Order: sequence, then structure tokens, then C-alpha cells
Amino acid sequence: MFKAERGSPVRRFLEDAPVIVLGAGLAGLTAARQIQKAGKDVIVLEASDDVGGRTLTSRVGWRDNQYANLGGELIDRSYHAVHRLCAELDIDLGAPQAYSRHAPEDNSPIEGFLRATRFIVDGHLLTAEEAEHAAAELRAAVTASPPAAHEIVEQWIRRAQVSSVVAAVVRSLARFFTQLDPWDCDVHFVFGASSGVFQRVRGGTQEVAVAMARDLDVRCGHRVVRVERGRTVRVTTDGGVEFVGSRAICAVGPFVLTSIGFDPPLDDAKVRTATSLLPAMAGKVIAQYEQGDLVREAFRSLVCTDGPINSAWVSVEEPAGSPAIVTAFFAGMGRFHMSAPEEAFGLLDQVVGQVTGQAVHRLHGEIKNWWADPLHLGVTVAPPEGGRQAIAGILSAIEDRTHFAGDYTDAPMSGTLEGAVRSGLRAAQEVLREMDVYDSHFITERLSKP
Amino acid sequence: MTTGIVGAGLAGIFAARRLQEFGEEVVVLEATAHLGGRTRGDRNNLRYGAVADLGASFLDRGQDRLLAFCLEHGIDLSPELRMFPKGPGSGYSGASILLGNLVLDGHKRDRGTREALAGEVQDALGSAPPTVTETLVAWAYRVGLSRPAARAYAMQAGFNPVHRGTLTSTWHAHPGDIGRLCWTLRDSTDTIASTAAEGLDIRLGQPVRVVSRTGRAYRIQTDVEDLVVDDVILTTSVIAARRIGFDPVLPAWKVEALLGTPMSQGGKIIAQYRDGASIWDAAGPSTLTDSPVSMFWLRRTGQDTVTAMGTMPDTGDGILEDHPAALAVLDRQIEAMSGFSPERIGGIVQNWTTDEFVGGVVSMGTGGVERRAALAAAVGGLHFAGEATGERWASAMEGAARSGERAADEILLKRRNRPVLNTSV
Repeated sequence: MFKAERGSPVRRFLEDAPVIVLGAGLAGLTAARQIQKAGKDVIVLEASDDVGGRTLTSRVGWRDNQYANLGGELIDRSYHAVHRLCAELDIDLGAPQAYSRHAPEDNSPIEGFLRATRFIVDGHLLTAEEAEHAAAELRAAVTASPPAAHEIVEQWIRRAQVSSVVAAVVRSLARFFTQLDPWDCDVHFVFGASSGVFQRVRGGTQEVAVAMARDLDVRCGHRVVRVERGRTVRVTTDGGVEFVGSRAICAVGPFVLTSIGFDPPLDDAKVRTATSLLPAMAGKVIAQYEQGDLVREAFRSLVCTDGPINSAWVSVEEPAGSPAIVTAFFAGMGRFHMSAPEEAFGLLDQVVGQVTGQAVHRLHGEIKNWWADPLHLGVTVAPPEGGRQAIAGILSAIEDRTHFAGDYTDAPMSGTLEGAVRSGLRAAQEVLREMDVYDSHFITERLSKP
Repeated sequence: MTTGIVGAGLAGIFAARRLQEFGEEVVVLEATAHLGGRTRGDRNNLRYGAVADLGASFLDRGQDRLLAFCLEHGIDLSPELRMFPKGPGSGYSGASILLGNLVLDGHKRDRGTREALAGEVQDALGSAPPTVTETLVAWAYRVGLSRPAARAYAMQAGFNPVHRGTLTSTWHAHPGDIGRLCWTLRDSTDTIASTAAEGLDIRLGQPVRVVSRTGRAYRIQTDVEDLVVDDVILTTSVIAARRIGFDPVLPAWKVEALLGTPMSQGGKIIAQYRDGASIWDAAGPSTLTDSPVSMFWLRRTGQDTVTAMGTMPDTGDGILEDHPAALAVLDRQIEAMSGFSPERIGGIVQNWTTDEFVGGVVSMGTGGVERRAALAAAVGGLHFAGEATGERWASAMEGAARSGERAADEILLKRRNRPVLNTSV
């Protein structure tokens, strides 16, 4: 399109190819949207048959047109980029749910959770007094053995020699925040600042991706297997389809980054860092119960357990009289239960029955095991506080016309919806900041003097 | 002076032997009821005297510390085992394993097919060698291997280090050292541990929960007792180490190394079959497959039976926890090779991932020299050993044993360099 500018017979820029984005999750779509807004061509290639990455919404099989979030759903007040994006896209967030109630005298956020969240320890649902007692013990333990900034959650539990009840509470919250076992994450996830107040996207988290994809050129069913990086970027899918672009933004999940055949290969430091991330080997077990009002009343807050079910909650506001959907995390060592559906649903029925105090009737259920999904191989990352900057820095570093987005490339918000959106904004900026490559003939013609 | 050793795997036992040999007092604390860590043998669940290696099985060529130990102590090995021939071409490579027995899509592949697949991989290795870190799958896609060749090549990650090919760097597979010439123990692999443990003070069933410094000494708390020692050697898996409390807290660089070292996730599927001679002829000594049992190898056992031992990485399909399903996968691979439905007379499934005191199969060594050095470095009187810290043969029994002796030497050197107190002045 620049070829005949000002009567010049020589084209101005060497290339006029689109930017190619790998992955139509929140990161990839956010990046593509920004690039397109700036007037550049962009193509998004998505391996699965739907947009959204790890924010899928399930809509089929649920009574009363209800739906369930299969992946990311919690939106904290500090998720500014997500809030702004939703506002731009005219997407509503539901009413906030408080899983924690802070008090000024608290010396750890866990005390706030002990006021609002209900805990099942060794099969017993803690009473309010027992929770208060645990909070007092925790306060004393934190004073006597303050957790070090970099300490592993389980190592603190052992060092502080807390009771089995307090240990169970801290472990279950660590799993809730990271979907990792408490020996795979550090204390900042449980002792760091956390509001404990969450919102969700009305209509399901996937609405955000769907809204962004509406105006973009997204090609689903194209799993990228090779990215050749030279003066242009040539991307090949598993079906043998080729796309040529000026640059690529790799916005796939953290555990499939190393399954793409980059040529030249990814930098050693990037591969080492990516393969060193501990994958959250987790997923969700979701069930719909007929006694909706009863279940909603009992699940006004979060329920955490020390059993195979890490946590369970009701996330969607539904009218009175309708069924209720309960979502549960199975993570780490508890993940194997997800492959035995009847057993997993049975465990959930039991927890719901215990919290509601009545036997409940399950209408429908669905399991999403992100660890087993070949397009994801894990649900999220939770890097240690001390390593975040270096990890995200290396993973996001630009190399060979390739940019990297995805929640795991954002240091402060790694592993969150906010991190995905922020990383997309950042990668788009990188691409837009790049100079166009001039055709040398054009420069000669314009500037070379005889 | 006393050293407390956490873990009675090969690292712990070899550390203890060396210290005791030089006159040190040593106490070894083991969380489980077993000696040998991830070299456990099962002598109860198979018939006709067959034993199963629930964990590590092989001594590879070059693992001379353990081979020397077997020589010194008269520990018998199996007949020499070559899992695959040399080639293609004049040497061994990451393609060689494809020349051995191979099952793809439930079908045995004939020699011509295997040679073609291995040849394709070998040509690519020659023209576009993988980088050290590049994963098996990324390299296969980069060089554009055909689908069957790519799958067969990536499958070997399920054998070593028992993990997903998308997360396994090619240094695990190339240059084809593992399985090229090896031996198993005639009894189970834990014979090394039980022989080496003779004369040592090893206390089983004592999971260590907290290690704290008290002045110049260390206090080790287990579920059963409290010990005060001068030095500690921690020899557990990295995941088990992350579950022990330390007071004072471990330094940040040590915690980062521990949290930056994933372990491969998976286990072992073992079954004993009748018609041993026929199965051996059809599938021996080993077979690589694209089923959930990535690789299995055979041992001739009594009454014309054969015992097959296979590796299974956890890919989230839950088969490792569904024992009948896991054993059925192994049956089908044997059937694909032998052409008849094998009669299984015993079976064992060992999931190392769900074992509280292990947490996985082996360390993944994803951080290169720098992170391994951080894993191995001492913190005051706290010393670190175990396969993850191995300078050579990390992730193998040999690496574990050598690391234990290295940690013992650190303590011995410290003793030698203690100031000489001249009380007569």
C-alpha cells in the first residue's frame, strides 16, 4: 500500500505483513485488540475451537439456563486493567462476595478469612468459636514465629509448630490462592496483602474474550507447531497451514510455550525458566443442585477443606427458586480424584450436604481438569515473591521478532486474569513501538546524494 | 561428633557409611518403613520368587560408584541388558531407542519401519541438532519430523525422566546413554541400600518435621523423637525437603532453588505373566510404546514367567490411580508385541507422585549448573545431598550415592580444619 507513495517507484517499507498472535486467551486477545485499534493488521490463531483460553464458560446441560466458569473467575478490586477492559466492552461484573472480613488489629489476612470463610478440618465444620480460637492461635504463632518473606508455606507451618487445625486452615488457603500444594508456594500468597473480596463477570468470564474476539480476525482450530523467525515470522499449524507475519506475539499458556518448535530455538534462559515453573496440577469439579436457595444461603462465602476438595463456592447470582451451582477446586495431590468423576462428585455432594445441613440433589455436573488438557497442561503459576521479577522478565523478553504475553509474563500479577490483560497491553505496546523496517532502496532514493 | 542424616535413600546411606568409616557418629532418620528411598523392592506380591523394582531399576554403564559397590559386596546383577542397538550409523544417539522394540497406535512396528523412523530422527539430529534446553517436542516440531517419528521420539521422555515430552529438555534423551548398556540387580535394587546400611544406626518411621539451630548444634524433631546433632545432611527429594520446617528459615537462594526444581510426575506399572519364554522372545528386553506405559522391560522369573516393569508419566488421565486400568494398558502392549493375550498372574502399581515423602519420580534439573549448585550448597552445618544435587548422574541412583559421599566429605573436611586447641599453654 506504500508502493507508489509520492510517485516513488520504490516501496517504502520492506514488509506489510500482519502481526500474528498465538493464543486467543485474554492476553492474546487484549494484545490483538490494541494493535488493531492502532490501525495494524493482526491475526489471532487459536488451537482450540473456542476463544477464552483458561476462562471458558460452560453453558450446556445446566437447568434454567445457568452457566459455570470452568477457569479463571475471581476479580479482585486491584484488577484495574480488567475493570477498565470490562467497562470498555460494556461487560458487567456481579456483586462483590466477601470471603474475608478484616479487622484493624489483624496481623495477617488469614484472620479475615477465618471470620468469613468456613473451614472443614478433618471432616468437621469449624464453628464460629472454633474459628475464633484458630485466629487467636494464628495471631500468637505469627507473633512468635513471623514468616520470612520467602518462606515456603509448609515450611512455616512446620517451623511455627501450629496446631493441626491452624495448619489445615493455612494449607487450604494456600491451595485456594495458588492451586498448588502448600509446599510448592511461598507465604506471600497467604500472608501478603489480599482483599478477600471478589467479583465475577456476569454471564461468565468467557464473555470478555468473546466480546474482544467479535471485532478481530480470530482463526480457531489452528494449533501452532512451528514459528520460523527471520526477516518475517512464518507460523505453521498442525494442519500444515502457514501464516506469514511481521512479528509474532506468543500468548499461549505457560506449560505449552515449550511445546512450540521455535526456529531459531527459544533462548536457553527462557526454556529453563519456563520448565522450572511449578505447574498448578489442578482443575474444577462443578455441580448444580436442586435446592438452590438452601445452597446459596449456606454458601454465602467460601468453604475451604483439608480433604481432596480444596475449596467450594457459589459464584453466580441466580433468582430465588432456581438451582445453585457449586464450584470446587481439586489441586495438587488431590488432583487424581478428578479422573474418577463419580467419586469427585460424591465428595462434592458430601461437602455441600455438610455445609447446608441437608442431603442435596445433584442435577448436573462437569469436570474441567486443566492439568490433563493437552492445550494447557496446568491451570496456573504461582512464582515465589523473590523470583517473580526475574521469572517474568525472562519469560517476557523479546527475541527474534517474537513477543511474549500471558499472565505468567507479568511480574506483579502473575497467575491472574489481571496479569493476562496487563501482559497483552504490554506486548501490544512493544509491537507498536517497533519501527517499521524501511526498504533500503527507498532510503537510497530519498536520502542518498550523488 | 554426631551427624544427623535425613532420609535413608542411597544418598543418606552412602553419606552415613563414609562418615562412620572415618569415625564419626551418625544417625539416619527415615520417614517411611523402608530403606532405599526410591529404590524400593516388592517381594510379596509376585509369585515364584519374583521381585519387583518399584522405583529405580538400572545401573547404566559408567555408574561406577554403584558398580564398584556391587563388586566389593558380591551383589549379583542381571545379565547385561541392551535396550536398543547402536545406530543409526556408527554411534548412539537420541534416535537409537527407536531401533528397539516399538509399539505405535497399539501395533508392533517391524524392523523396516523402526529403521526408517530412527533414520529420519538421526538425519534431523545431524542437520539441525537440538539445543541443550530445547524440549523433545519443540525440537521435533522445529525440524519438521513426520508425525510418527515425532511421537516416537518424544515418547522416550515417558521412560526417562518419566515426564511429558513438552516439558523435558533434549539433554535427557541425547546422546542416548540411558539403557544402551545396563544391568538390573538380580534381587531388587534396594539390595544396594540394605547391604550398605549394615552397621548403621538407621531409625525407620521417623519423618523429620523441623530442623532448628541451637547455638552451634542442630535439633532435629521427628514424629517420634528429638535429636541434637552437630551437623545435618538433608537427602530427601526436593519436594519432601519443601515440607520440612527450618529454624532459622533457609536463605532465599536455597528456597528459590527448591521451588525452581520440579519433579517428574509418574510411577511404575509392574506385572507378572505366564508364557515367559514366548513373551521374552517377542518383547524382550524392552519395548517403547506410545501408550500411557511409555516403556517396559522384562525380567525372566520362575516357572516360565516373566515380570514386566513399565514407567507411566502422569498426564492427568488418572490411570496411575486406577490400578486395573493401568495394568490393562501394560497387558495390551505385551499383546501387541507377542500376538497373544497374556495371562497376568500378579500386578503392582506404584505412584511416586502421591507418596507423601517423595512427591514425584526424579528432579527435573531445569535450572542448569547454577540451580544445581544452589541445591547442593551447605547452609552452615546444614548439608544437602540427593539425586537433585548430583554433579554427575543427577536424577539417577548413582548421582544420589555420589552426592551423599560428597556431603560427607564436606563435613569431614570441616572436622579436619577445626582449630587445634593447645590447652597446655
